[in-house]
Amino acid sequence: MIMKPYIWLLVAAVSLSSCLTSVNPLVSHNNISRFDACVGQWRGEDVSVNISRYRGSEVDKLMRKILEKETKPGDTNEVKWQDNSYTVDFTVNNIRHFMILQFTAIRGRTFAQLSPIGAVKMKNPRDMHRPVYEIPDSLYHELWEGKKETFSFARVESSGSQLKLTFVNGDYIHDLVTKGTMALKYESDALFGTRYITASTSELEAFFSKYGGDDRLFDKANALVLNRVNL
Amino acid sequence: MNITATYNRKWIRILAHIAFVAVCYTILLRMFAINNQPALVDHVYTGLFLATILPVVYFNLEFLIPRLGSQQTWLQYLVALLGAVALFVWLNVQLFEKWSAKLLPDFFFIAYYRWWDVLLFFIVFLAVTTLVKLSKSWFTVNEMQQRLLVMEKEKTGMELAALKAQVNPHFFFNTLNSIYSLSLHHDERLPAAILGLSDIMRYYLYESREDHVPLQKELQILRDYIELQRIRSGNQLDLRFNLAGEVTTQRIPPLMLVTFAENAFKHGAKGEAGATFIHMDLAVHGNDFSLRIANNKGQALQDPQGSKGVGLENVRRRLELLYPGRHRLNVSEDNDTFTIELHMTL
Repeated sequence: MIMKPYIWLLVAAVSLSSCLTSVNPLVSHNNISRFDACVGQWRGEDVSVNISRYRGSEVDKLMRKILEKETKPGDTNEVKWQDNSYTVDFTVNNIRHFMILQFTAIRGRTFAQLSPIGAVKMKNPRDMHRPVYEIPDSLYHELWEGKKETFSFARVESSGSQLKLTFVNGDYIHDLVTKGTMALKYESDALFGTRYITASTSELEAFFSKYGGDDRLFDKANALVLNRVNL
Repeated sequence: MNITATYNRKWIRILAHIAFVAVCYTILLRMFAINNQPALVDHVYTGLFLATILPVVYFNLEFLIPRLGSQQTWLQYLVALLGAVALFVWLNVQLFEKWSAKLLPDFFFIAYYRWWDVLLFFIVFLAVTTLVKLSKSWFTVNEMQQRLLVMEKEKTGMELAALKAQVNPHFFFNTLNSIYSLSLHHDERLPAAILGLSDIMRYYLYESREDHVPLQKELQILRDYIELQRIRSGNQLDLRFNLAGEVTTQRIPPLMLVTFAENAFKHGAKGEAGATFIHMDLAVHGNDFSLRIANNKGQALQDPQGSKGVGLENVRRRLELLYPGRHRLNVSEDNDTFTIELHMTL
């Protein structure tokens, strides 16, 4: 449990510079959409990223192992959720990070939702090639228990060989909230320096519907640009 | 004075509306504020929200309701109101979902309410303000009714005064005719008659100005009047006067009984000797008073001068004004007898 803050801060620092997290998801069973163009190996400025379909992925297998249950056939929402979700994993400093990636289309724009679900420390080089659920002393299990999900949002621009994720500009939104010119449910924690959007899913959807095209709200300078790696 | 009063009322009205808007603004601000301490954007949000509601509220209060019933029917009222509500609910939704991003680019907020929630706000505002308006109208109507009641009372008082003014000369005219008749015959009863008339005149001049006098006093004057008429008519008149019950503190309009007696003497004391009679029966039981006067039908009933029944009609009108629903006056006649029956609650 002591490792948790370290892991979350590391994930945010490495992958989602200055982005803002939300305690509620933007993507729900009602508005989730499929975006298979994201599947594959990608190379960013300092990191390699693998994106795969959730169903059948390492994370899927691990989740089944941890939760010790199978998806019920009649649970259409869960089936829809799994069919349209993706997993993201990347390694930084021998720590392998896992995230759930989902998409939604709002007023003609595609938005991505990233939710970190865990990280595993690679204790020896061969761990890099083993399924995560087979690695001894995995941190994953510890992290999942009692984990509070958080979500990050990005506007998506895609071409065949490039995927660009422009995350919500946390600093700008923080300034607006501080100035009192933005009415978005929001909380900040001065002790840990964390900021959270606490708006509901429907409020987030309304927000991106109205301001999804406003470039001021997205950190274009620090957009995550991924180029497809041809294997 | 009137101009100043009107000016003051106008300012009070304006201040009341400002207070109403301020209270609504405060309540909505508390509802809409994201945090306990309202931010600038919360004020903007509240102001815009209220700006879409108030036009409909004042359209209803100042235009639709005043014309309801006179210039428009309920159906027209509802159609106009629903149309206005639909238009401004749509404006509200569009403003918060789309237009504000361009109108106020430095303020970021979303529509926190769906159209049915906004409609509910409109309904609550319209219901509350309409009730306030109607209650205010009720007070105004009530005040007007009170004024009308006072005016009606004043009018009744003036009419009663006019009726009394008609009674007095009529009575004195008849009495003086009687005294004149005595004087022609140098009747020795003339001084007593004049003395009796003097007492009656004192009553007329000084005591009959009140709306009501003690029944005891009115009966005394009635007796004086009967004595006066007995002198005039002599022994050929069969005159009976009976009083049952106890007279205490009851009060009665002045000259009421005398007028009935005057009518009986005027018409009944004339006729064939031995056939003239006046029978008066009075009963007093608490506040219940009854009078029955029966007299023979004399020549005066065919009096062509048109003065017949003037006193009786005056009394009938006074009873209607002073004892509405509390009296019953029956006037009947057959071939020989003319009868008046009066029952009243004093």
